[in-house]
Amino acid sequence: MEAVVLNKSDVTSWVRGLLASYRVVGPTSAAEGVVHYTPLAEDGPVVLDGLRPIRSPKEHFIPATETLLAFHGTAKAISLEAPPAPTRETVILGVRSCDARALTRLDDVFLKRKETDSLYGNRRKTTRLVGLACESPSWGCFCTSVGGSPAASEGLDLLFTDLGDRYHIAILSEAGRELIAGAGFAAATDADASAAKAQHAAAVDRMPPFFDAKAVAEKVEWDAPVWMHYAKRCLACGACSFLCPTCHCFDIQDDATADGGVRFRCWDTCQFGDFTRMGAGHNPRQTQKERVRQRVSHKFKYLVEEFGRQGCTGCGRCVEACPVNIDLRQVLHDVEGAKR
Amino acid sequence: MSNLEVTIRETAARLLREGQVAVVLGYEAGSVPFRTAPAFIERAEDAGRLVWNRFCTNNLAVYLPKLKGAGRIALLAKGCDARSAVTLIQEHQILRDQVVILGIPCDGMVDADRLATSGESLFGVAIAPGADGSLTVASGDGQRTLSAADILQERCRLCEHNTPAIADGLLGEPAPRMPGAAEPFAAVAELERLSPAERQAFWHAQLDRCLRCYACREACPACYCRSCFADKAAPRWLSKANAADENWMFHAVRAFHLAGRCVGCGECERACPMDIPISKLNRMLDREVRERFGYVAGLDPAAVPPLGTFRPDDRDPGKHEG
Amino acid sequence: MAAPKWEPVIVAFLCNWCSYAGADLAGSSRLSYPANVRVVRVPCSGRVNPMFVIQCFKRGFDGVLIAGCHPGDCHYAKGNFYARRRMPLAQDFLEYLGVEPGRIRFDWVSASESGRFAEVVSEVTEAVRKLGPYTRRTWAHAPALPTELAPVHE
Repeated sequence: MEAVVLNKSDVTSWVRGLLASYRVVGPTSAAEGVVHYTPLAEDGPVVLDGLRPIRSPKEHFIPATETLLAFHGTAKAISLEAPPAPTRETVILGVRSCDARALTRLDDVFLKRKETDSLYGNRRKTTRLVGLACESPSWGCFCTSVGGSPAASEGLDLLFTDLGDRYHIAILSEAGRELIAGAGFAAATDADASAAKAQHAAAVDRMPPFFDAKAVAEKVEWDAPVWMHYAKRCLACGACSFLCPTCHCFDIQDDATADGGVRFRCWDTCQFGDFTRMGAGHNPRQTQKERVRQRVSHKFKYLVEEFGRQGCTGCGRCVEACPVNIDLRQVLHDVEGAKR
Repeated sequence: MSNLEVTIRETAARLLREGQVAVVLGYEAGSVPFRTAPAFIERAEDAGRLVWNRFCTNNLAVYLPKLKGAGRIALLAKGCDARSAVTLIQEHQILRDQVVILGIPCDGMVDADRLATSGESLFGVAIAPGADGSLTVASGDGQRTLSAADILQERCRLCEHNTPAIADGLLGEPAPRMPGAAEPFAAVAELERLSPAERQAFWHAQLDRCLRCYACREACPACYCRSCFADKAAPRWLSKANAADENWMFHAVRAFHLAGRCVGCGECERACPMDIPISKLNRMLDREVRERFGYVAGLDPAAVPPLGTFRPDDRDPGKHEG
Repeated sequence: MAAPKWEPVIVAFLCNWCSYAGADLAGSSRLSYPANVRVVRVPCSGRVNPMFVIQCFKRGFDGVLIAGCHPGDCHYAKGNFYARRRMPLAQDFLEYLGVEPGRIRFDWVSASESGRFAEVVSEVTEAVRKLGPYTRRTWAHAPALPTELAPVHE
């Protein structure tokens, strides 16, 4: 595989070069040390090491809140304004393999059904992904249980591997090649390639699978006692879904005053009690048991039936965020073993 | 296994066997050594699942309103949890004789985020508690011994009621006072030293991260409204949009709804996936309610909540602005 | 053309029986007072939910006045006693959140105190004028929603 190396001391100048032609988004450290993916400024420091960040690049494809259209005026003379399509291409740095794979799952939902989502599609079309291999799993990680790995290249245009004082960069697509063309990086040596490979293998070895995803898809059952066991403690918050890089449900609302307003969409979650509540008050998923069952079934059975692959790439954020320790690895282990 | 853990298991088993309660709310082993999970023990033979350690952090009182009508409940309660239960009793969310409060003296829960040094992974870690209150953390990268007292959760370090005040029996000896109990509002005072503009900037920087996941609200035992102001469509107080000052308003109003009711258990802050220092909002109101009305939440099941009553000699607003 | 000069916009929650009547009397007596308040009539100062005050600042108003009957005179006997606990708490809490002292005024105005009403309105208007427009912070990534009010220019 074609690869180059980039010294860590040269990252800033490379980013500066990218900023001349692209909008660049990368992991930065916000208040309280929370790392999130934000548009980078010329001199902004980018965090290209450490464990998988708690936020994912999902919000750059499905923003937490997004205007669908704005309207001005009254019924007699109303004007509508659609949001502009992206004018610049975007490059996102520091993308973990689980998150890149997650975007391919979002592509299933937003681009492969009868209706496609042009807002999502436009962003996908105009964004390139620069990956960063994980050296160590975060404590909730389980990508290897769902067919992934800490250095998987699926969905990425480049893949960085941290070799101490430099990065090994695997070139995975023409779009990726364009990002490093002209930057004058040295070709990776065999030693570099071996070091990267060894690191990837070591990271994989740390994470034997927690469950068999194929078996799980077959074992998911409507009436299993496992749902109630976990639903008892579930608080019905949205932490798991909002952090999840493959969760994609949204609500559409209008905010308006007398002479104008916006129609927007915002993140929603099947875990909220009101998610399936209808106008007249009926709620087909009345208790948390139905909602916990829905989340797991959707990701590990229904999406598998529709697209042949899970709606989960094992990033582990839900595991780490859940205030009551509903560990999806444990849930799926129980489903597979038909326990509880 | 500590003596307290044995006592907890025996007490739970006995209460269930004798039919005194239908369910015991406690903690069981979590999926990793530094987590426990809320346990709902309904049979005496399952009481062996119950654990007691430095990771029993959840406020189990949050389940009381959800279990109303399910029969009598035994609640394993630290000081904070017991005060939450009392608040729920005051507000008629559960009847006093429907809950057996098993008081557990507590010397603080560990902040699991501080078990790892920066960038270190806790994946596959093993934790061994020492007799001296230490914790030995062993991971693929090596081994470290920490003093549990050095990495307590901040809300534990400041706790003034770590021995449950109201309980149907204490399962151990009263715990010593927590090191920060003399200055529970130091962080509030620190923020008050900033100018209003600096404080506004501080809160906006923090609340910018809010995802409106409502983990804070759902983890809070005092937030039990079936129809929260944030979810109402008519009238619509809050936009669901994660934008502008909607987040600010959500947290401001929720904090105010908790004025005089928050017991400082810190679950909101722990549940927040974005590390927003929510407790700094609640503590400010906690202090104000204490100073103005002489009231501390969760110490008296018969007390009337301070904003639900008044005194003829309450301070008049006068001409001062604040 | 010169840029329009900013004028404070203040929401006034006035209780029907006392302060609203006092405001009415001020009007019929042709007393002069700043035109910066927008009145919301409520049955009682005890009706004023601190959430209304927070909502006002979220929507970009510059100040809030809450006026009720003097203690002991409440038409509903005790509504203003609850307000007397609630409103100062709200004032201090909002100050903690960055709303400068002076933007929220809580006071008593009786039905006959037309002069006092005019005085209270003048005072709070001047206090807010000195502080300048209340600046809410909007975030770059957020869509502009019409719930945001631009400062009013007169």
